Amino acid sequence: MDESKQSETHGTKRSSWPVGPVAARLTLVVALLGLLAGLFLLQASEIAVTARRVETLRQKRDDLRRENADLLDQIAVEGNIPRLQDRASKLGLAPASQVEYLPVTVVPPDSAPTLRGQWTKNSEAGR
Amino acid sequence: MSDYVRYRLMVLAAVLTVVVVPVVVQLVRLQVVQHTFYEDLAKAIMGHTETVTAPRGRIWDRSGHLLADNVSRYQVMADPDSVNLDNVVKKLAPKLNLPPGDLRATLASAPYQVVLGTSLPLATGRAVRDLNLWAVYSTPYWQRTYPEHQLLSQVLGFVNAKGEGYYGVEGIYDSVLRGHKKVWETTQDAWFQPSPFDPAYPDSPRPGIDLVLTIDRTFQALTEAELQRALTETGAKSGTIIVMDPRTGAILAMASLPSFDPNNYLTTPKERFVNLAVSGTYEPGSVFKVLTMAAALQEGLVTPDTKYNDTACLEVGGLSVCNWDRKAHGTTNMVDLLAHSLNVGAATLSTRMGGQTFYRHVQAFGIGQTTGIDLQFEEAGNLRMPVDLDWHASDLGVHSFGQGLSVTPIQMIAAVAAVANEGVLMRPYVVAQKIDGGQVLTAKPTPNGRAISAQVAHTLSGMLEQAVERESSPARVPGYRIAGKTGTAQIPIAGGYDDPWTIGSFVGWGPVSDPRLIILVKLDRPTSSPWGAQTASPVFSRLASRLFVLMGVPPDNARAAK
Repeated sequence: MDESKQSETHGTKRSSWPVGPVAARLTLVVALLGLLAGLFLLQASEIAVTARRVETLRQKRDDLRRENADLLDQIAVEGNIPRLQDRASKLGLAPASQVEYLPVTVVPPDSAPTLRGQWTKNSEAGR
Repeated sequence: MSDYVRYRLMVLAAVLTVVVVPVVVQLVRLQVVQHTFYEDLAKAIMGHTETVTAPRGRIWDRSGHLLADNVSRYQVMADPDSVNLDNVVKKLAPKLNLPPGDLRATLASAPYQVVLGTSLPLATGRAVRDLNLWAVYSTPYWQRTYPEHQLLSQVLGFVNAKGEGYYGVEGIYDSVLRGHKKVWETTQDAWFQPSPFDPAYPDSPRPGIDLVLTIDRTFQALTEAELQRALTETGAKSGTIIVMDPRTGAILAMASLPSFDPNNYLTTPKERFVNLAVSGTYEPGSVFKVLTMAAALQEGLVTPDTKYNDTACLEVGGLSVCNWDRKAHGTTNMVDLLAHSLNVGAATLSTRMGGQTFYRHVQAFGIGQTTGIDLQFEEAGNLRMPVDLDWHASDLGVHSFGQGLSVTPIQMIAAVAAVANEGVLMRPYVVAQKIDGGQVLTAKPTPNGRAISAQVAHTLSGMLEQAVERESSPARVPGYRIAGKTGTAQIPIAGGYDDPWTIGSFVGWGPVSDPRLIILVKLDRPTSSPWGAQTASPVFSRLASRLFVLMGVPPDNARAAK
C-alpha cells in the first residue's frame, strides 16, 4: 500500500508535513523556554530595581548621618567658650569680683515645717 | 485538527523558535558556558574597590561638651579625558566658586584625574553630586574638627589628612579613636554607580571609641585666660599651668602657651605642637625643696622645730652653695627654711642624709621617671645619681634645691601632690572614660606607690601652709588655707646658665584640710621680676580663688560652720 492510500484508510487526510502533536509539543517547549527566560529577565530587573532602591536608601541614610554629624558640630561651635563669653558680656554679665557664702542651717526634712505639710493637711481636710 | 490550525501552529512555533531560541542559547552561552570569562572581563573593566571608613571617636570634656568632632567634607575630582568640557565648566564652576576660565584651564591641562576641590562643605559636595556630570566625582570623607579651636590644643593634639593622630590624646589613643575600615569589592555601571547586582553593601564599619576627659572646658578656659594674663603682665615668653586633683591624679586643666589651633595645624610651627607640661624639661629650683624636706622628715632627721645654723654659703663637694640672697640667716628652723627658701638649709639636709638616702627618696617621688600620664611624648627628665659617671659630689648639694637636674611640670606636680595626698603618689591621667557603643569603661585612679608616710605628709603640709603665711606670699587665697612652695630657677645652656633669665614657678594646693586641687604655675623668662614669688604666686592665687568657686568649694570658715 502506498502512503496516500494508507492515509485515506484511517478516515482522515494527513498533511504531508509531520505536524500535529509534534508541533504542539515544540510550541509548548519553546513557550516554556520563553517563559523561563522571561521569568529570569523579570527577576533580574526586579533585583536591579530593588537593589537600586536599597542603594538610594543607603545613600540617604549616609547623608542623614553626615548631616547629623555636621549639626552636632555646629551646635558645639555655637556653644564654644569664646562665643559664650562674648554673648555673656553683651548681656552685661561679668565674673564675680567678690563671692560671699551664706551659711544655711539645714533642717532634716522630716522635722521641718514645710509647705508640703500644710498642703497635705488642707488636702486631707477637703476630703 | 484542521490543516489551517496546524499551519498556524507551525508558523507560531517557527517564529518562537527564531525569536526565543537564539535568546536562550545566548543566555546559556553568556551565563553558563562562558560565565567565568565574562565575569572576569566585567571585573577587569568595571571592578572597583571602595573603602568605607567609619568616623573617628569623639572627644568630650567631663561635662559633656565636644572637644574633638568629625564633620563631613567632600572632594571633587574629574577625569579630563572623559568630561564634556563646556558642560562641566558651565555647571561646575558656580558650584565650586571657581572662575570658569581657571576651571577650563585646569581641566584642559591636566593629563590624569585632577582634584578640583577639597574640604568642601556638605552642601557643595552634594550639589556637585546631584549634577550627575559624566566623569566628575564628588566623594565624601570625614574631617576632624575642634569646635573650641585653641582651647586645650596641646592636650588634644591633632589628626592629619590621612586620619592619623599626633600628639596629646589624639596621638596616644590613636588606635582607640580611629574608626574601623571595610573594603568593598564592587563593580560600577557606566555612570560609575555601584552595580545593582553586587553583594549587599557591607554593614557600616564600627566608629572609633569616644573618650571623655577628666578636664572641664570651663576650668581649662579659665586656666588659659589666667596664663595669658600672666604672660602679658610678667613679659614671660611662655608658660605652663597644670591643675590636678591630688587625691586621684585626674588632670582638671592643663595649659601651655603659646598654643595653636588644631584645625589649622598645617600652618602652625611644629614646636607649638609640643605639650610643655609633659615634654618640656626644666630645672625646678626651690620647689624641689619640698621633696628634700619630705625625705629628711621621713628619715626622722628633722622635725618642723629642728634648727640649724644658716651661713650664707656652704661648701659641698668643692662647690660653694649659697642662699639666693647671699645672706646668713643664723639659727633657723625647718619652717623658716621653707618660708625663706634657703639653699644652704636644703643642702645641709641632703648632705646629712647622704646620697643613697636622698636619691632613694627623690626616686620614690617619681623624679627621673615618666609619670605614665596618657599623653604622647612624655619626657622623663634627667636625674644624675651617684652610680652615674657624670655625677659629682657637689650634685648632692645643688640637687637638694632643684638645680643640676631636670623635671617636667607634670612630674613636679605629681610629686608634690603626693604630699597633699597623704604620701601616696598618684599616676596623672586625662582620660576618664572610654565609650564604645553602649559600653562605658571608667578609668580608676592608680597609685604609683607611696612616697612618704601619711604622718610625714600631714606634717609637711602644715609646714608648707605656715611657710605661705609667714612669707605673706601673694599665693594666699583669702578664706582658704593654702600650702605651697615657690621656685626660681636659672635656665641651663651649653657651658653654664642663661643669665639673667629665670623660670619662676609655684606649686600649691588647697584647702589644706581637704585638698581638692593642686596647681603648678611655671613662667619662662619673665621680664617683670626674676622671682617665682612675684610672678607665679599671684597667678596661683587668682586661679585657685576662681576655681574654688567653680568647684563649689566654700571657704574654710563656711565649711567649718557646716
